[in-house]
Amino acid sequence: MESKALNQLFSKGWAEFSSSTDDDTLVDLSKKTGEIIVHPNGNYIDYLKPKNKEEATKNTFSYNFELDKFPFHTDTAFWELPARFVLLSCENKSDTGTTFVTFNDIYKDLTSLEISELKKSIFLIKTTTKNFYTSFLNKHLNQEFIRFDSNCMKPVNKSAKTTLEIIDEKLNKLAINKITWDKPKVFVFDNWKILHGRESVKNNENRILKRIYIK
Amino acid sequence: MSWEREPLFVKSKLFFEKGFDEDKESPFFGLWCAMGLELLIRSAVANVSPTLLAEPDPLHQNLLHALNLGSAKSKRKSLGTVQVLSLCQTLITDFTEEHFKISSAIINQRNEELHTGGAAFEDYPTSQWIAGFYKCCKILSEFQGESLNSLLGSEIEEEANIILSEVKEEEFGKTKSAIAAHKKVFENKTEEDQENLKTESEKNSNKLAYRGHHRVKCPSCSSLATVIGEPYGKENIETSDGEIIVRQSILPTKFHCTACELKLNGYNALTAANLSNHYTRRTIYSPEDYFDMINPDDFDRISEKFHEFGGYEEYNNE
Repeated sequence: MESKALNQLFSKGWAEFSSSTDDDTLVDLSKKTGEIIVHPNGNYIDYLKPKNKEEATKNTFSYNFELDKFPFHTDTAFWELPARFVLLSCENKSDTGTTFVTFNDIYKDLTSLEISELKKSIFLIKTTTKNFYTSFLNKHLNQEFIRFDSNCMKPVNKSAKTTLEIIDEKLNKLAINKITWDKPKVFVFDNWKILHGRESVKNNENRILKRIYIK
Repeated sequence: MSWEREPLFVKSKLFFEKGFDEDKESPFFGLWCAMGLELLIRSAVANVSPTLLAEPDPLHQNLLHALNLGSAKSKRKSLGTVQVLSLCQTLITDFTEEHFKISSAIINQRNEELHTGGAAFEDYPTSQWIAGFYKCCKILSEFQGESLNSLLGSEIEEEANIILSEVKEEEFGKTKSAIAAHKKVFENKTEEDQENLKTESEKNSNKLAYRGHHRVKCPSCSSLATVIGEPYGKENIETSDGEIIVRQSILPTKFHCTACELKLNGYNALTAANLSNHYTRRTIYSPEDYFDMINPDDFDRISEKFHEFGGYEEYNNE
């Protein structure tokens, strides 16, 4: 990865740049960012296609939202420690953009009372294999990170319910950033600082997004 | 089942939140705090490595689970609490033998509460363990890059700091001397004077009980006296037939006995006198008073409110 893009990733939390989208290039770029987290099937890269309910696994975004837009969320929020970086690239051109907001932008608009609610929030993450407690604002080795996925995080205290309302309100108010897949490029973001989503799928197109998790 | 630091820490926060929703003298406050403390101890150890929470076994099955490599067929088993506490002593410099003993005592009460038909925390008043509890929470939180604030919130952190800040030893000696001196003066009075003072003190205490004071026995002359203190934590509000009941936890900080004139100030002085048990102030309001509503027939009150807002101002279009 160009050093400029890498610098931007660490300072702003995301970087978008033109690049070849072949698998080897993407793996190479990911290795320059950190250590690739190998998918349970043994591969480095996930190939994501828009799906209908019938094709999707239960309780996934595709199952719940099908071809509609995906709400903002942390990728792998259901992992005890979510992936630090996510690298995305589109194999073909696509009219369906990837949307994102930075937590910095959300934070700027928060009152001290709202920040306190976010810190006090407690959610239960429930998946088919495990469940555990978490918060919207977390800490790992003295590094703070956000975790947000209304799909798998159920509020267990009052502050968590308030947090959902606060985040919902801020997301409706904030200007949304968008990555358009109009040419070969890479979008890499800090998953601990950025919430991302997907626009609703346009024209039932055949969109193949490549994804690599990095720690 | 998770042995990672963050889920353990967040779960301890949840248990403390449940505890602080209870009245401080309730056994459930003690029980939730004890369970939260156990999780906090485990999260502090997990901060070094979650593998330390795996019960050692010859085939390393539990260790493999801690490394997320365990077999679905084998159940994971956590290290016993006493061993986790010992690990805290080894790993955390500030966690001394004294903190080990305090934590063990609180957790033992939790065991008695859960394993027997008795109400263990009923006989283990909050004042006996709360200072040590806050001290352990502070050490264990800070060790993992957290704080009393991130664990318990700013209001409870403030209360904890009051309890933790005072110099204990000096205060204990001074308080014991004051109690002994007042006892001596009181005992030198005639029996009749003593009886009269006791009766007056009882009447006075009963009156003060309606003004937020809490009745206690004077450690010097055994008359009925009162303590008063600082409210802390959130108010619990209940509604019942035509009334609103507000319950607020109080940290006692002042004692006064009108019979022997003993006065004590500060939480630690009250602890030395065995008077620092937290209590709950229960205030009953009518809905009108609670919401500051005005009866439309009450012209005096309407007039008062009218003047409060500055009365009628003439229309001015400038």
